[in-house]
Amino acid sequence: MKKPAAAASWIGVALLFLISTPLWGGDLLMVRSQLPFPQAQPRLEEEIVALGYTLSQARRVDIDLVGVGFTSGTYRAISYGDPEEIKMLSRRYPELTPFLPLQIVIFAERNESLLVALSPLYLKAFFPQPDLAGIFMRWNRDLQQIMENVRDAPPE
Amino acid sequence: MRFLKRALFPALMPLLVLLLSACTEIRERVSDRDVGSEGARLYALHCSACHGDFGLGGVGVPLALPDFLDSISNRYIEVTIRTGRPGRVMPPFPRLSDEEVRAIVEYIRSFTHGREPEFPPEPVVGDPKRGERLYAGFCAKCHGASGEGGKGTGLSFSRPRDLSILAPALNNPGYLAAASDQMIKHTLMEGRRGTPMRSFLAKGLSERDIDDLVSYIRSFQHRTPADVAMLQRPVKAVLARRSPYSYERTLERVRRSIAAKGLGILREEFLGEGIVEPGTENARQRVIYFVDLVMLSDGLALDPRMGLFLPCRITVVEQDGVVKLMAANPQQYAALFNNSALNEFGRMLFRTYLSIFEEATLRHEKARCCS
Repeated sequence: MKKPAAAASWIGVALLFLISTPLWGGDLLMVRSQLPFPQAQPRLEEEIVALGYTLSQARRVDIDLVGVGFTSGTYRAISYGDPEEIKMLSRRYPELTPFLPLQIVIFAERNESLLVALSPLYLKAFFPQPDLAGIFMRWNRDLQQIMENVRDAPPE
Repeated sequence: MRFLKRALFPALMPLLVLLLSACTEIRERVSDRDVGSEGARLYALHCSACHGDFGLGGVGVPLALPDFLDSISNRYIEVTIRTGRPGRVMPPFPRLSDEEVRAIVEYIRSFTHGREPEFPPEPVVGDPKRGERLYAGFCAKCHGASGEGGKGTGLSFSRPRDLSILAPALNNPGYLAAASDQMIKHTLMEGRRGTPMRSFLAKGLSERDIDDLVSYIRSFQHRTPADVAMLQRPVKAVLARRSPYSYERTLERVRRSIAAKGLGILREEFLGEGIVEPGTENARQRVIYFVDLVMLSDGLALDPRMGLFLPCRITVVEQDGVVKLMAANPQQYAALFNNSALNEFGRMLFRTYLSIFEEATLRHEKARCCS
């Protein structure tokens, strides 16, 4: 009597897997760093530059949020990229511009920091052009390395 | 909402204090052997970003509550890792091997060094109709009228939330797959210290009442929650609209439309400004950032990771004489973050972008009546 219901439940879970699994198979990259925010942000910027990218000015995400009850003033978006690549890609694929330049957000959680980024591999399904596949792969590999290096950095 | 803040936040403050003071204790309890284990390595890789290095919580709910770990089976944790909680932030990890999942479970157990509880395998038999009435009276306040659970993404010490401990979504397919009837019954009978969940026996319910409640909760599995069904990857990653106007006029119309909606433009810049050498930016690629405080605050409260897509951003590009407006599709947010609370938020932003696009590109025609 219970078996059909249980089987239906598992089929439901399996279907939901099909919906959500690929989205978490690398679409969102997230790491926790033991570095407090004042150390983590410059470390993140160092790691980005070390891989040959150019940084843009860090952008505040939590503008005026203290006024509406948020206690943290430590949430930044760090944009970066290769200047020539940005020029070339935005010219060749204007529809890629909403995702350029690349971005990592970093925010404080107690005395640690969280880093989140959209995996460039997410874009593969929407931009199937062969010449982009290698670029997305490289971006993803670099992004992972940057985030892992910040994650593994010991606090001073 | 204010009432909830006033009534519940002070009530839960002792719990926050307890968790903070437990931090050192848990670090001490997790022995060097545990820290160097494969489970610790895998936990650091896959779990700690959300649940914290020692299970104290963050974007994800805290795991290191003794009463929580003492009332859940290893199977519950294993199935939770495998299936996640569709639409409730916790992602599934289908690629981990059974061995790796077991290692993570063992490490999580080391937070409290408690023993795995044993539950009888038999399903609980009760009257779901009667259970439904009891649920409305005793459970719906925290777990939602349809078992949809509390709102938010777990506790975060840097950002106050309405509730520091999330009431689980009892209707979630992942929860129902992981929790056995007897495990749910045990929780109802005993409650969970350190959380708002109290023993229902202490509240005056009988074991029969609790059986009826369990059978009602189990009946949720025949209905997939609508908001979970919405967690689908959008067809397009980018919203784009061609403008009939010149590049400059389109920019001006976008600005006006944003202002007319009561939204504030934070800044404008050329694409890649600050990265490409000054003066070499493409003057026909302009990015406009805009938001309002309520939108920003709501988005970050629903999921603190929303800073990836907030403030809102529209790119206006002219190429080969064609002017286009573009934005990342907000309908992707819920699926990306596995957070069904973002379904409505994403839809709201989607409508906002479309409305701006339409207003900015709408061609004015002379009213015929007056021609």
